[in-house]
Amino acid sequence: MSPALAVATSTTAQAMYGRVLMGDSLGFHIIFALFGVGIPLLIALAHAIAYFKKDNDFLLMARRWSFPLGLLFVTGAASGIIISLQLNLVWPAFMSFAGQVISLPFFFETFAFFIEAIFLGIYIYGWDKLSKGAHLLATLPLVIGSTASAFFITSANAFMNDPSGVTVTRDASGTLIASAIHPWQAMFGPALFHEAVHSIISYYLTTALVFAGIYAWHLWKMKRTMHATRERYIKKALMFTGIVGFIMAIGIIISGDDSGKYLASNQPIKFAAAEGIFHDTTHAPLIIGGHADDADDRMQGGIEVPDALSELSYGRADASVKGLEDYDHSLWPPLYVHDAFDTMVVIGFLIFGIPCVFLILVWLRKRSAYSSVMLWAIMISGALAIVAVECGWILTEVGRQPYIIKGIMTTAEAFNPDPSLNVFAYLFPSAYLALFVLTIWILVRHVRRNPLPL
Amino acid sequence: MIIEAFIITVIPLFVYLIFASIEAGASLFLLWPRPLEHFSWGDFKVQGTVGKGSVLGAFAPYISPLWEVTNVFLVTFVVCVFTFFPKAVPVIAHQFLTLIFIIAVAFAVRIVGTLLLFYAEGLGRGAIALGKWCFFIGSFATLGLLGLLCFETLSGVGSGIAQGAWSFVVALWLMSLAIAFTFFRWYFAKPKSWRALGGLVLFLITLVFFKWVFFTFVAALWPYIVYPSVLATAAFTSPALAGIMFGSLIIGLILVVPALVILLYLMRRH
Repeated sequence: MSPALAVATSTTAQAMYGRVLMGDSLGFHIIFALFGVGIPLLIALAHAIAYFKKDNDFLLMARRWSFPLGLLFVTGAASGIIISLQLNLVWPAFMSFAGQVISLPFFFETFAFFIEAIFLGIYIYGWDKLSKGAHLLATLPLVIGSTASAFFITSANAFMNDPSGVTVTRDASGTLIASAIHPWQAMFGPALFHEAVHSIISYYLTTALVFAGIYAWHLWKMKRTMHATRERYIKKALMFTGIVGFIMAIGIIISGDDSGKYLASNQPIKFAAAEGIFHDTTHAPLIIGGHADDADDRMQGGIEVPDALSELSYGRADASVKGLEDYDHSLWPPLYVHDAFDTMVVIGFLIFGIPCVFLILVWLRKRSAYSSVMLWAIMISGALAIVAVECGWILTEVGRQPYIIKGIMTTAEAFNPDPSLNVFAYLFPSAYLALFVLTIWILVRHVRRNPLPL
Repeated sequence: MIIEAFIITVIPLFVYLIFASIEAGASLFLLWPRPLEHFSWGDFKVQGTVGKGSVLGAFAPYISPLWEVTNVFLVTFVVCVFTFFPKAVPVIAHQFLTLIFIIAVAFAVRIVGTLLLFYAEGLGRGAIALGKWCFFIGSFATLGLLGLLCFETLSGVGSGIAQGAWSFVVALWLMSLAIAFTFFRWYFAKPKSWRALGGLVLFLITLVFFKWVFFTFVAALWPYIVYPSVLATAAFTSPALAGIMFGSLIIGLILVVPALVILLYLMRRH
C-alpha cells in the first residue's frame, strides 16, 4: 500500500465530514449554477427571435425570464463565493497543489464571471436605456460569459479526473512536489472536451425542460379558463422551450455516448464501477439496473443486453472491457455509482423521448399534444433532468474516489484535519437548504404576483 | 514578478471594499425610519421599480444591478490568493478556518437580506424589516470580518484575536461609512448642481484617503502573506503559470473594464 493510501484509510472518518460538506454545497450550487448557464441561452434565443421576427411575445418571454436569471445569479454568486472559500478551507492540500498547476481556469473563470455579471446588469437595465439592436447584442456576452465560466470550472474538474501537464513526485515526508508544469496542457487535459460538452449541453437541456415544464403546468392548470391570447403565448413558449430541449437532448445522447467511450479507455475504474463490470469480459453485456454486490464481486439482478457494452464502448461486440478485479480493492470507488449512472442514462433517453413525442404530436396537429398526460410528462421531464444532472455529478465525483486528483492525491490527504470543521459540516448544508427554499419561495411568489398580461 | 502578483491580488479586495462600503452605507439608510426626503443631506429624487416613493425605491436602481459585480470582486480576490500564492493556502486554512467560515456565514446573511429586499415581492412589514436587518448586519459583518482577517495576517498572533484588532474593525466601519455617505451625497444630488459637484469632490477625497490607508497596510504586510509564517516568495506559484496569468489579466481587463464602464454609465443619474 502506498503511503498516500495508508493516510487515506486512517483519516477516512474525518474526511467524511469534508465530503458531506463539499458534496452538499456543490449539490446545491450545481442547481443554481446550471440555470445560470441555461437561462442566458434561452433569453438570447428568444430575444433574437423577437428582434428578427418582430414578435412581441418572444420579447415578453425574454423580459420575464430575466427575473429568475437575476435572482439565481444572486444565489449562485453567493453559493459560488461560499464554495470558493470552502474549497480552500476543506481541501487545503488540494488547493495548494492545484494552485500551482491548474489555476488558469480558475483565474479565467473570474473574468467570465465578471462579463456575465456586468452584462446581466446591462441587459436588465437596458430595457428602456439601450437601442433595440444594442440590447440584443448585450445577450451575446451574457451567453458567452456564463457558458465560458461553466467551461472553465469543468476544466478544473477534468484535470481532477484525468490530470496531465505535470510531473509529480513525493519528498521524504510524503508531500507532493509538482515539476515540469505545463499550464496549458493541464488546462486542456484529455477529459476536458468530453466532459465540458456533455455537462454544458445538460445545463441547457435541463433549463429548457424545466421552463417547458412550468409552461405545461400553466397550460394544464388553466385549461378550461384560459384566455385565448394567454393560451397562444403559453403554447408558443412551450413550443420554443420544447424545441430547444429536443435539440439539446439529441446533443446529450451523442455527447453521452462520446463520454462513455472516453471513460472506457481513459478512466477504466470509474467506467467499470459505473457499468457494474467486475471481471474482464469480452462480449460484455450492458447491465441496466441491478445491484452491485461488494461481497462476492458480481451484479445481482438487472437486465442484461448481450454484447451491448463492448459494442457501445469500443464499437466491436468482441472487444474486451476491463473489470474492477484488475485493480486493488482499495482503489475501487463506492459501487453505488452504478445506480447513479443508470439513473442518468435512463433519464437521458426519457427526456429525449418526451419532447420528441410532444413535437411530433404538435406537428401532426393532434389535440393530444396538449392532453393532461402529455403536459404531465413534460412537467416530470423537467424534474427528471435535474435528477440526471445530480446523478452525473455523483458519477464523476464519487466515481473518482479514493482520489481527489486521479492517481496523484487522495481525497483523505487533501482534507483539512481541523476538528472544528465538523461543526461546519452541519451548519453549511442547513444554510444552503435555507437559501434554496428562500429562492424557490421568491420565484413562486413572483410568478403568482405577475400573471401573464392578456 | 512576485510583488506585481501581490499587488494584483490585493486590488480586487480594494475595489470590493469600496463597492461593499457603498452597499453597507445603503443598508444603513434603509434602516432610517423616515423617507429619505427628510434626511438632512436631502434632495433625493425617488425613482425605481421596487416600492415607488420609498427609501428602498431610491436605492434599488443603484444597488441591484451592481451587487452582482461587487461580489465578483470578492471571488476574484479569493481566486488570486490561491492561484498566485497556492502554498499559503494550508497555513491560511489552518489559522483562519473559523474566521473565514464566519465570513461565509455573514456573507450568506447579507445575501438573504438582498433577496428579501430586492427580489421578494409584496412582503409584510415583518419580512421587510427582517430583510433590512439581514442586509445591514450581513454587510457590516462581512466588511468588519474581512478587515479583521487582514489585521490578523499582519498581527503575527496566529489564530487568536490580536490586540487592537477590534479598534481596527471600527476604524474600517467608519471609513466605509464615509465612503458611502459621500458617494450617496453625490449620487442623489440634483444633477449638475453645486451640491453634486461638492459631493463628487468629497467622495473622491475620501477614496484617495482610503487608498492611502489600504496600501500603507499592504506595504506593511509585504513581503509576507501571513506574518510571520508565510513569505510571498515561498508561497508563490510556478513562474510559467504566473507569466500566463499576467498576460491573460491584460486581455481580461480589456474586456471587463469597458463593460463595467457601460454598466456604470447606464446606472448614472447625472
